Amino acid sequence: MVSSLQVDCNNPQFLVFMFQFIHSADLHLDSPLHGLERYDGAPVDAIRGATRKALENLVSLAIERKVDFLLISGDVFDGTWKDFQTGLFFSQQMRRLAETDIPVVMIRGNHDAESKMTKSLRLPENVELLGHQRGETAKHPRLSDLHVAVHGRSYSKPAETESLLPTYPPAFKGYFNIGLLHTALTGSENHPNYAPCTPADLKAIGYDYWALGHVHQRAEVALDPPIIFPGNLQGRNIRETGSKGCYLVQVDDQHNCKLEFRPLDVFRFAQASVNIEGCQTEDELIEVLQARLRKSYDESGRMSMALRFELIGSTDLHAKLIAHRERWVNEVRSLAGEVSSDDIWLETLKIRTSPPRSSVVDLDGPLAEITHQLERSGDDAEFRSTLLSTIDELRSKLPSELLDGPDKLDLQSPTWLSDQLQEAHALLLGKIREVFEP
Amino acid sequence: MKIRELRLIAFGPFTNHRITFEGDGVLHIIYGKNEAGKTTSLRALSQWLYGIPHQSCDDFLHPKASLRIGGIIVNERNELSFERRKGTSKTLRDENDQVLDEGCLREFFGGLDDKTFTSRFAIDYAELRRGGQAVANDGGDLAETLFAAGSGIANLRPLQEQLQKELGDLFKSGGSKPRINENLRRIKELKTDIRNLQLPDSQFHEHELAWQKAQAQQSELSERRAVLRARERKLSEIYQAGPKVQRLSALRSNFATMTATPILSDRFEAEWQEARRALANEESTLKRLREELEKLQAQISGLQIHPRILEYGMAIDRLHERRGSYSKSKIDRQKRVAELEQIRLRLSIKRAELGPVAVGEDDDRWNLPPIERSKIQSLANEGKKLAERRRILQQQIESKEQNCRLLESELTTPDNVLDFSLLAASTKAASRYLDLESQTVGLEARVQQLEAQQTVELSKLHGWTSGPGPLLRFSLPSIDLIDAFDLEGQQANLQLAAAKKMETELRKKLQSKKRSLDRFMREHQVPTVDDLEQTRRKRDAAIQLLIGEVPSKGQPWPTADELIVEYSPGGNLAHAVLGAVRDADRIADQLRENADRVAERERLTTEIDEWNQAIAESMEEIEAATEAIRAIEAKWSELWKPLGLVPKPPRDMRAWIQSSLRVIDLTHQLSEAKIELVNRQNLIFNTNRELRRQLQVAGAPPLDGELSLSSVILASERYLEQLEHARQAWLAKQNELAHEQRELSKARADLSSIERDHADWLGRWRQATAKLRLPADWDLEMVDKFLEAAAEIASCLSQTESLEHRIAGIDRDEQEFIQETNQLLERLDLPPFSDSVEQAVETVFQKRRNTEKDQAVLDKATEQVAEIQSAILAHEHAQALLRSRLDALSLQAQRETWDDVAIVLEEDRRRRELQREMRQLEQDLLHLAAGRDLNEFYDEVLHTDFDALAAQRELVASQINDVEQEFRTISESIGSLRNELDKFDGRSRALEKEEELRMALAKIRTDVEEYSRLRLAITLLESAMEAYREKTQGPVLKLASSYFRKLTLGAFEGLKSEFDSKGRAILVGERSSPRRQVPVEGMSDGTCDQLYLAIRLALLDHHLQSNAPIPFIVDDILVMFDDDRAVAALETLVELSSRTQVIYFTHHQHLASLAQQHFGCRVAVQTLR
Repeated sequence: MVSSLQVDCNNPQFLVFMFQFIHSADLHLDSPLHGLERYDGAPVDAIRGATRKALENLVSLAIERKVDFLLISGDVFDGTWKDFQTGLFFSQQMRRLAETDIPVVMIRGNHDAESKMTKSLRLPENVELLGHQRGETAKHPRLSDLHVAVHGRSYSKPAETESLLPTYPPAFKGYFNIGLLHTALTGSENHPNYAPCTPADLKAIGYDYWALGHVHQRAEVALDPPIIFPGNLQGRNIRETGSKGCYLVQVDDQHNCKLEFRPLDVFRFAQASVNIEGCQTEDELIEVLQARLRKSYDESGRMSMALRFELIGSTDLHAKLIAHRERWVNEVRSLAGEVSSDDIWLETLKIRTSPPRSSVVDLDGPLAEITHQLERSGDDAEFRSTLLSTIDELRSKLPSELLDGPDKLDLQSPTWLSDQLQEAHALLLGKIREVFEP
Repeated sequence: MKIRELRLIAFGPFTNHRITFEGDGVLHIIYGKNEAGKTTSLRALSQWLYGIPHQSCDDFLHPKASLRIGGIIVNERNELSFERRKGTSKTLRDENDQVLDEGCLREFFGGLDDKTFTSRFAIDYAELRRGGQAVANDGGDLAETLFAAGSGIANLRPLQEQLQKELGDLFKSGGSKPRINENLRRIKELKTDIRNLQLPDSQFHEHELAWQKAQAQQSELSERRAVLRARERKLSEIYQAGPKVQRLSALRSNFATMTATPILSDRFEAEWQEARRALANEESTLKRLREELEKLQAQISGLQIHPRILEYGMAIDRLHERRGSYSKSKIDRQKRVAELEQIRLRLSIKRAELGPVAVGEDDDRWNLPPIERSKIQSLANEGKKLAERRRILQQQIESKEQNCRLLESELTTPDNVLDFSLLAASTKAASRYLDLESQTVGLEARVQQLEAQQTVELSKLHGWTSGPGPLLRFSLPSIDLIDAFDLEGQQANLQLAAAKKMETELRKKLQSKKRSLDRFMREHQVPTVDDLEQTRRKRDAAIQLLIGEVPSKGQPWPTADELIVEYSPGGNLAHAVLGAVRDADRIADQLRENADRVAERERLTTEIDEWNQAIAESMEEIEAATEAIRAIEAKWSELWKPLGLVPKPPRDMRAWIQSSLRVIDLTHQLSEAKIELVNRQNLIFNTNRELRRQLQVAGAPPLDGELSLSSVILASERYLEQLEHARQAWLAKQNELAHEQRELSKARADLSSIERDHADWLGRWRQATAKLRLPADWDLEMVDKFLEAAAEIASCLSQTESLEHRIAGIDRDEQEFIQETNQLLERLDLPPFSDSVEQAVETVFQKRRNTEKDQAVLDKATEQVAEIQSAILAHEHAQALLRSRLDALSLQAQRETWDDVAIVLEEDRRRRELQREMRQLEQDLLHLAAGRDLNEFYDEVLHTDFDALAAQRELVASQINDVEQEFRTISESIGSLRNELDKFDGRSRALEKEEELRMALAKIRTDVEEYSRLRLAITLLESAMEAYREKTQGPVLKLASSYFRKLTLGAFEGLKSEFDSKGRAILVGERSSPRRQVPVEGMSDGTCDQLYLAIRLALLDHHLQSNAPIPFIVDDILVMFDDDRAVAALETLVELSSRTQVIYFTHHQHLASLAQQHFGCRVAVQTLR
């Protein structure tokens, strides 16, 4: 989306800016990165304290650009994380801003409301946390000097299911009015629908800029006035792909805004798919994989990244890939390390290939019986139950972190079983095929 | 589908090679020796149908792009001719090289892919062996064996073990090493670490509060400590100042007494001492200078200088330099003279050697030009070579003439050595029958075996004593007919049994009903309807009799008397009518009153009647069934009458027929074997006789006794070897003679040529040596020696001249040197030398050097004397000045002598010391007073009670100690709290562990998915195996049983399925004699192979029953079968060929021969070359 207000010096509408600020949200400080399995050559150091490094980058940017103030639209902390060191680290970073006289205005999001840390942490004087009883206006004198009014309201509980807008103060006349709000607007995938409202509701209040938080995917919802989700500062799992950072906003005396997205993340998540149809030998396959990995690395700006790599297409190598999954995972890890000087971390290798189209299932022979058993698992509930029971013991030993949450390993769901059976079937046929061509 | 033709157009070693598969129902055998391309053809067949792989090993002759295979396939409706080329697409072509769609093969293969084709419709020896071993190792697991054989995997166990191993590497119940187990443990540890490392906010605040409190306490203590320390310091100052004040007081008193001595200036003492030291130095220096002056003057007076020697210094030096050359020349002269003597001696010896030829020193022959000498020497060498060559050739000619004579004498040979082709041909022909002889032994054994089997089988035919002959003549009832009788009989028996059973059951029920009726009747006396009918009939008869009517005909009616007797004895008919009417009414009333009982009784009665009826019907059925059985038995007996047998039941007779069929089969086999045996024996005998005759003709020693054909062939081959050896020897000598003769001619020609060369040389030689004027009888050696001596004489003459010249030069130089020496001595006024001129020159030279040294010493000493005299004057002046200065200082000290001044100086030093110490003490006190007025402090200290002061100091020290102790404690506490708080610096140690935990979770997630896949794969495999077993077990086992019997030549009756102790379905073999079950563990390797083959064939057979045929490719599976079993296996393949195309590849000639021998035109053998 291209903003009509995202103009530069060539735009006559935009005069010399009067002040500038940074809009950030969803820091989720010390939330660890998920789904990354350690192996030799993986850029382990790159993910260490990634959310902290992103915050450091945010503070450095504010200092370097000498911004007038910094806004944080909620979710500084991750709700369940209890280590008070996280809070202390946040305070340290805020003190860095205090040293250069940059005020910070923030609200609590749903995760902050869940976190005990926000209640007991003493913030430096330059940080102003807006209350949760009603919409409040920040009192920092610097803001008044700039004729800026920052309004906002914190979450009082983890789930604010009603709109918070009715309690927001009316726009201050002659001021540049900014609204801080932690919301999913009318709903968003992967995010609970808290503090619901519509862009029209926001517009109706008459503020000049809506600094939203909660949705981790960056979005410029509207531009007149700007209604902006900056996304989170650092991607934390494969669902949070692409560059992450904040908005640097410059405002002129006509209250025109110039928006600039500034990446701050130190580690990136990406997905790539490669069609290996036509690869007949392992050497050819390796060549294709190498080229695709190199492309992904270039696309990420050659920074440390986690890559979900998917192989698709019908190929003679299907059986080998399936039967030796681990070997190929290591092969791709090694290739990724080679092309990126160990910057790429292979998150998952998805083998979604299929056998060559020319091959068909054995007529009435035993191998057809294996396929028949697979089909039977779809119809025969008792058989399905028998199949599931084979992994009951392992399931009972697994830690709760694996069995709960958005990425939970649902070992009893029909979909999971069906997918696993498909792969088990392919694995079995692959291994059998290897008997014929070792 | 069948393959009609396979064309190896460009593939492996083949170029345009064609293999055809003509004829239906024929077993196609492709025979090729090793390296003939059998494996390549087999590969070509698969790649023709399914494509040439990217990496081909068959492109060593034809380039990759040119590889091409073609052929024709047919099915019931169509024929397809196509070619396959190498490539990634469009590799299927028709005869015109137009691209064909791969789908067109589907009609023929039904979509069978390459792996399925090669695994299910092809078998090789390796698979057979794997399959056999797997059967044995798995204890004959039926599901596993069927699945493995059906899929062509042969042995599932490695696959299952691999899956289990991979599973075990991931997770084991109660394990610790597998990846998931290890990671689960690690996760627990990490969670504990995180809990320990996480900082709760409450903990932080508690620490912060405690730290602030401790800081306040520390601050207070610090203040208290400062006050006490100030007090302590003050007391300490007074304490330290005490001795100093006392000392100062004493010093001040002492100083007041020092007033008599004059006060000297600060520099006085230094100046006094300096002047004294300087004066002493001057005196000492003057003394030393005067001594040195005396020594120099004594040295100068002792020196002697020779002026002429200094004047002729350079001349002396030159002469001394030439002295060395003179000495060397003298030595050189002696050497040259000795050398000259030696050369002269050698010259005289050489001349003496040449004798009269060497007449004068100026002879021009001594100085012959080098070219001429070289020419003569070259000619001499040539002459020597020619002579040597002529000598060798003469020796060769002589030797070869002798060899030729010897070889000619040896080349007389008998004829038989030269021609023994007839014997060789006969031996070769006989060799073809060599196998025949060993086979005959096998055939004899087979005849015996067949006879034994026939006897055994005949013994199984109970009631049969006529031997096998009649069996061949009579037409035996077919098994189907027996089965039909058996079935009919069984059905009739079943019907009879059913009818009997029914009758028994009916009778039981009848008895039961009858018992119920009896019981009812006993319990309830109720008249029946019959009773009422009878009574009414009697009533009606009585009434009719009374009214005079005649009862209607039909039934017998009672008479009037009978009625009167019954109803009214002693009365009349009217009374009887009345009685009858009453009786009828009574019964009717009773029936009406007991209607339900009557009904019950009626029901029971009716039922009994029905049962009786049913029993009657059953009896009829029994009768009919019995009759049917009798009829069947009669027909059964009739069937066997022609054989004169009283038949046993069909089941027994079926076995009888099978035994008799085996007897017939064995009889046929026996007959064929016997005929074959006789034929072979005749052939061997005739061949033996013919070969012996040929041996005799060829001149071999006669063979004694009856020998086998192989022995005769062996003897013949040995004799042929001897003949061949002799022939080869004769031929070798013949060649040798021819060679020798050729060499002899060549040597003679060479000799003639040498003679000519020698004549030519002689002319040139004489011309060249004419200048030497040598005697004509001198040979080449002598001329050679002359030339050598002449050269040496010339050299000696030249050296003599040179040496004489040199000696003369030396003598001249010596005379000149002596003369110059004498002249110099004269000039120096020295006497001429007496013994040696060299010694004289050396002496003069030494004198010159000594004179020069003395002159230098004199010059230096003169200079030093002047310097010292000047110094003495200067020091004497300084001494006087110093004495004046000391006198002036004495005046200042108010003393007349220098010694008195020293006393004054000592007193001055003491006074100054007192003043310095007092100043120091005052400084110390000023320091201790710490800013207070010094005099006040001095007075305070002077008046202090030091005993009380000590007590105060102890008290304050104790108080400070207490405060210090407290301060240390609080400081430690603060330090500890600070350390704790320092940990709360925002560091992310818990986060690091959390990140590690997330990585471990991600790893477990991957492993869990891998584990699940493997676990599900294993379960799918097991389910598929079990399902496949259930589906195929029945029909396949029956077929496999039959194949197994054939393949084991009847050693096993068949196969059965049993359950082992674990309830697992397993295969067991059924032994025929003695009859018993044999588990697979009890079978030999070969039998296990045959079992696997039987199952493999049975599965194929079963498949063919409901599917279109697909060619079955067999790759040399019979290599380890003995001939009999190989024949049996080939027979099954021949039989199978009637249902589907079977192509058998082999590199064993004898297997192809066996097949041809046993199955004739049912086998088509092609040979790959």
